[in-house]
Amino acid sequence: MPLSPTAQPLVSFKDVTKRYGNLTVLDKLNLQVAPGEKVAIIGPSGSGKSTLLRVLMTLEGIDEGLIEVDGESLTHMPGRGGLLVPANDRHVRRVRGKIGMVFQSFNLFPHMTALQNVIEAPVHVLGMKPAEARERAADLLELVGLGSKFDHYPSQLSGGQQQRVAIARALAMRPKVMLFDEVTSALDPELCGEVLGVIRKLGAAHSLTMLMVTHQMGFAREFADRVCFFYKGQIHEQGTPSQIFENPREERTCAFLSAVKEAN
Amino acid sequence: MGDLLPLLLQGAWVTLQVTFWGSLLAIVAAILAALGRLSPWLPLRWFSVAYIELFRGTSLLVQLFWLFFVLPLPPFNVELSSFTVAIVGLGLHIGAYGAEVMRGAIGSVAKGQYEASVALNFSAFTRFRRIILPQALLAAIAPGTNLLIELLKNTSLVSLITLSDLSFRARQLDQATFETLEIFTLALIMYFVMAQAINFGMRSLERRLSRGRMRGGLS
Amino acid sequence: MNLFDWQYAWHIMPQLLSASLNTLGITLLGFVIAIVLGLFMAIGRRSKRVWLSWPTTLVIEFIRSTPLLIQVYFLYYVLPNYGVSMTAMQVGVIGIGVHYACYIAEVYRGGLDAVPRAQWEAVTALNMGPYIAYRNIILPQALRPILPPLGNYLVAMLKDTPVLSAITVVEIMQQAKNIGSETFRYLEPITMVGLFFLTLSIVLAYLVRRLELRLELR
Repeated sequence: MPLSPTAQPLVSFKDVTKRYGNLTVLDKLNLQVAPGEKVAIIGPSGSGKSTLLRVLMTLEGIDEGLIEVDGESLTHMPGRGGLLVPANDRHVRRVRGKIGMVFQSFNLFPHMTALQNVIEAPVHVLGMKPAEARERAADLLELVGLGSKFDHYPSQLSGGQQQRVAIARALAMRPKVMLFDEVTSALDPELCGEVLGVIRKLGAAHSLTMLMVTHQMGFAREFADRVCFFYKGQIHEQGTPSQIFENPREERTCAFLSAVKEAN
Repeated sequence: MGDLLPLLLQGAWVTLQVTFWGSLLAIVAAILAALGRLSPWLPLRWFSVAYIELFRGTSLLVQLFWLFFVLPLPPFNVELSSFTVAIVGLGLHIGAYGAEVMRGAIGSVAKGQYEASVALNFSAFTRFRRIILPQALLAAIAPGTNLLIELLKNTSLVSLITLSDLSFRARQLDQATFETLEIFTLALIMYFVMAQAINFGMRSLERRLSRGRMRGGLS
Repeated sequence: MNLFDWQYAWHIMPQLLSASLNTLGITLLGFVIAIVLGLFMAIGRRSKRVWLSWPTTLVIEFIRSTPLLIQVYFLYYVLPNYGVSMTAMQVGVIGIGVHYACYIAEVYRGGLDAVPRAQWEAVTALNMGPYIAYRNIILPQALRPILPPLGNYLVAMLKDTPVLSAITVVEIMQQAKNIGSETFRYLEPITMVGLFFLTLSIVLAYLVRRLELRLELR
């Protein structure tokens, strides 16, 4: 459960704008996520949902606005005399270290086994000792239900298994915020359940803050603390799952939800 | 024929050594030049392009002669042994071609690998060393094998800067014994065998490095 | 002593230029041999008749895997023992032509393989003899995409001509060495030869790229 609304937000988007040429993908976006909150982001394709996660993960830059994580800006750092200056590489990496991301196409390292995938970053980025990293990785892989697949290569695992390794790999870096970018969209329907189950387990056990872009409405409804309906680069409407799914106020939200219901 | 073999084998040993060290230099040069070519820092990019175009655009023999005849003279006054000239000339020449192969190989690594590495907070250097380069090298093996065989064949030119490789020994023996047919046939066969060995070795290497990447592997 | 003696360079220019004509002549003649012989080798390799395809494949692979230098040594020193006597120039042209014919055969093979099977079947159905079939139907389709690689091999042949200096062919590199050994100034002649090759290969590479664009292959 999220902390009280007056606690400082863990993630904060203030008037964030991003353009690709003439196309405005994020339009003066404002979003505050409280520590421990689980936010589901839904909306039509091309509305900018993934871009929201990508700019937070520093995979892309923003044109205007401010993104803050745990009180620190992602793009600027305090300089002399308290003025804000563009952040150097060290600052960005430090702030980035608090965020983890799981991708739609898993992006596992094909030349490493499941275990090696999970220990790679802790050893080579955090400087953890290999033995310690291996122990932690084993625990994480057990947690996601892959205790028997340590020495398997990604090509030997199903899509659902690969995605679970990807989750373990992201968790190994102890992020404060986990981003899930349509993590079940590339999976066959019967494999979605195992991945969603892991996410559910994570949510219950940890006070991990989660932002997930998803098309799984049923999952969003029962798992999320807050649902944001994204449309044309802005949060068109947001509220609790029951507010959004049962009593949507905006017309576009209704249109989207009924279209989704039609499709299922 | 039996008295021909020992000297020819001696020459073949020199050929193998030049091929080996030249290949190492070529691989290093190829990786550095490919990175330089992709670098956002303009002077480095221009330098890499200049290196690649210069060594690809001029004849290898010209390069070897330049290193062998011109360097020892003023104003350079650098005297290199023919062995060193051979390795440097061959390495830099093939490295220039290798740079294009590496560039293609690096470009063939899926973009998702970069994104996952950023998400896991890798530095650019560690990302290249641990994630991108291993995958690029695997992709480079197929075109790279052809280049290595080119390097092997090009070693024959070092006989013209007086290095005692297989070609040099063949010429030497011919001038001494005039058993021309046997000598040059043997030399050709030896080169052929060495080329096939490289082929075989690279194919085995490719199989070993891509273990686990094959679809439908072990359960 | 100055870095580059421009007067000396100007002085030896005529000698280098006349030798460069040799270089260009050898390259062009060799190229003609290579593209004609290469085509026959490619067809032979692709033949269904095993007595033709296997030996052809063996010859192609053997020549491709062994150095040009040894091949020209073979032609220049072995053949006279069997009554065939040719000038160094003739041996050089044939040697480089046959060597590159084997590379070009592989390029042709790729081009011929790329012609859709339906075309081969149509040719059979229309009862066309092999000569007409290749000339009118198959080759025009096979040749377009392989013209750029052929252009690249022309450049490669040019840069391989100095190898022929080993059998005393007086092309531009040999000339430079001769000049250098007379005056002990190697810097100017060898650098000029380098520039010669560099310029030609850049110009030819540019022309090949233009050709690619014109054929709309990029």
